Amino acid sequence: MNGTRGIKMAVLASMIIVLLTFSMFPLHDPSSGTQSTTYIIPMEDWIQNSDVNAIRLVNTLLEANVSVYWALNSFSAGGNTYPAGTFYIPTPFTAMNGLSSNDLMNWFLYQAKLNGVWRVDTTTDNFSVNSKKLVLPRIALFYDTTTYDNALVNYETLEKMGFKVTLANALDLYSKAWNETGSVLSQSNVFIMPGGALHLYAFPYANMTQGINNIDEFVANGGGFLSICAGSTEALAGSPYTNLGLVNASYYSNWFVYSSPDQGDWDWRTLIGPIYLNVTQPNNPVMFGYGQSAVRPGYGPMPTMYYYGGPAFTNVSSGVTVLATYGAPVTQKATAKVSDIWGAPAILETNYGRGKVVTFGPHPEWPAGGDPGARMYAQALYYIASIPKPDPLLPSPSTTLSAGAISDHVNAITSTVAQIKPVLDDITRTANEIVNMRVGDHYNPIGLWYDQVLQEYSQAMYGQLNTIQTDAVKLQYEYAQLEALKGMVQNNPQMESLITYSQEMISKFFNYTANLPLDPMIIPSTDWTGMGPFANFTVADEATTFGQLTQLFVRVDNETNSVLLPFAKSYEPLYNEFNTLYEENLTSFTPSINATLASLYMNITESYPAAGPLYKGMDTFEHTLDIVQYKIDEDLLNIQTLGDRTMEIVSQNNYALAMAVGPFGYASAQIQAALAYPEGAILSGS
Amino acid sequence: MTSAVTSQRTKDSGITNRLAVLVVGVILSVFLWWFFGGLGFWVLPGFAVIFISIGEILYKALLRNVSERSATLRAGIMTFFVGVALYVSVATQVMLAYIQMISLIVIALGVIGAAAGMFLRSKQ
Repeated sequence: MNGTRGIKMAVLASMIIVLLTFSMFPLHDPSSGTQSTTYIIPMEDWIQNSDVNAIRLVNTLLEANVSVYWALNSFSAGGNTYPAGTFYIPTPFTAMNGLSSNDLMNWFLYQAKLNGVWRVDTTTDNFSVNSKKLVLPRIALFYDTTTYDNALVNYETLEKMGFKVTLANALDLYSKAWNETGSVLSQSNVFIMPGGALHLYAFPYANMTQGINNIDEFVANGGGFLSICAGSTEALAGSPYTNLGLVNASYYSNWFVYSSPDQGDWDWRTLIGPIYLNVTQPNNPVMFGYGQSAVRPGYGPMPTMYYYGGPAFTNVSSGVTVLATYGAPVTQKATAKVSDIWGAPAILETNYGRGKVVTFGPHPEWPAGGDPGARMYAQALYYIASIPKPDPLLPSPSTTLSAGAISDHVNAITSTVAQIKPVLDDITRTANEIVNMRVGDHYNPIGLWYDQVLQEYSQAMYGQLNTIQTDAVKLQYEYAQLEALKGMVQNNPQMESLITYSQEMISKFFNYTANLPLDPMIIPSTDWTGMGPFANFTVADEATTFGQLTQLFVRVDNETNSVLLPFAKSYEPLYNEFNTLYEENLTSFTPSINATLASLYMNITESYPAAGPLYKGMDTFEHTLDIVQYKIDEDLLNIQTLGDRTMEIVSQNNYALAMAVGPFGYASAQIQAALAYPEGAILSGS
Repeated sequence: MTSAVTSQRTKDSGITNRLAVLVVGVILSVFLWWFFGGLGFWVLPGFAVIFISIGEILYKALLRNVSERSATLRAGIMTFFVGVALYVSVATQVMLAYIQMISLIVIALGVIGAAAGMFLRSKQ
């Protein structure tokens, strides 16, 4: 019995010793020590690493002014061999706000584990490889009429990869010189022309030349230019339309010209969908990881990319490099008119002055942020970005809000989202109803098309509202946590400055939601098609605060239900009549049916000055979409961008603060803030 | 006599089973350590198996010479080792400091429970 009691006492004593040891000497993240360490991200380890998430994390380091290198050849280090396209980060360094490499890289490794980048190798070997020191792409994305949903999908893909985007309209591009202080181009080092339609026609005719000159000078002086689909046709010197003249090549423009005015452009639509790309330059940085030797599933031997009427290039001059050609169809049966696409160049790369240009025929950004095109898109941006530009999202001093003011903002945002959602639900349901009528078929020349754009925007805005509300709640919690940490770092100026910086950034986010800039787009009440008149849209109708967006959603809901849905219903019989005749004409051609079909087509598609039903419909939808795109979603996207940047800065600074105060101090701050704002604590999850 | 021998053999086979589970926990932990790259919260499933197995083995070892079982003692030991598994798993992520603190509370509760089970009479 005494022996048993002795054993029990020993066991209990051991347990108490463990408890005391853990309590008095808490463990925490390891230090990298004084030896120089290089962190290597294996991009081809597709089992352990998401390449898209790795790119997002690389961008967070670049935002923090960390030097990240992109290996342009294969190399060996630490007993491993890495292919070209590998990212590596040498240490030590001092990052933004004085963050040490030990703190920032431990933060990075923690974020990597949370984001599917599970393998980051380290080595103390000295190695040498031909590399590019990455310059963070500061992106100006064209966002104006003619971009439709293309700009939205581009934004979503770029955002998922951690790229911050400035939305640029035509006015931004022609009203100031490219290098004038305050111009969008002067703050950017990359300009993206998305797909959609010919964007230079979004410029007023009198200002088109100025806009073209600004873009050209921007690229000639070292700016990067990336274009997609229709945007790429405008980069071509050989385009029969107004163009930027950046690339010495042409394209099969005749595909998009009606063979006969009463026949429609059916041929190129037979190519819509994913196609196989033949990668011809796998050693070009844009193409790293793709092609015959690709390791990642879906990246080779022929990766797929979505085609939607983009250029198949021709007459490519010797100074232009063909990175990939249109290899083969996935499901398409190309008509004779467009069969030349197979083997035609699909992606080009060239220099223009001191700048680099990459033009995509198909869409690397579809699906948004997904495989397999997203990484190629990112690599193209890294390839063309060469001039470092400062962060346009940094906080302004003396704008720090109080905790009470932040609570007011959070309440306003939360209540606004709650008011908007049922309205947005109704917009989405109505958009779905219109889409289900199948009068917007993209494969059909008389398809309305914009019904799907409205559907896409409404679905996207639901996610954006959720993100903004979540960010607001999380940042309220983070602010409280920072307040709790203040007392623990009173004698540490650097840590105090981190707290101040984070709180300024949080304040900037909330201040922005209360001071939304006005978009210059004019929403007319009538247009040349004779539709409307719509209710006047004046400056008084603009939203200058997040809360005022509610009324704009109500306006869109009213227009969708009272104008767009009735129009679609009236268009449906005409659309079905045409398609019935078209099918009949295909199966049992007679001259009389063909003549009736041609006449019907001409009536439906009649253009200026007397608009037929198709243009009436498209312009009617455009009216509502203009309000969505420029008066609502532009604000939501900008808030989301600012929220992303704020979360990054706060998270990085929090790590350094946690290391400074120790795990018990940091836990104390976390718990204090969680007791005040439990929802934010749960959402934040550090 | 026969029942005591049978009881002892039962205890021995129970410890053997727990050792087998412990080995599984070690294998799982090594795999998780390797796949996700080092020590971190991702190793928790493996560590939980290891430390709970250790707790079970310890409990059965303590009962070798004791005919009385104690649910409180067992619960205390299990709680202690769950806390240790949790603590060690998150120890290298300072951003999870609040979980580290929670794990210390769990460990402390385990110590209290074990002490109660050892020195207070309780029967299963």
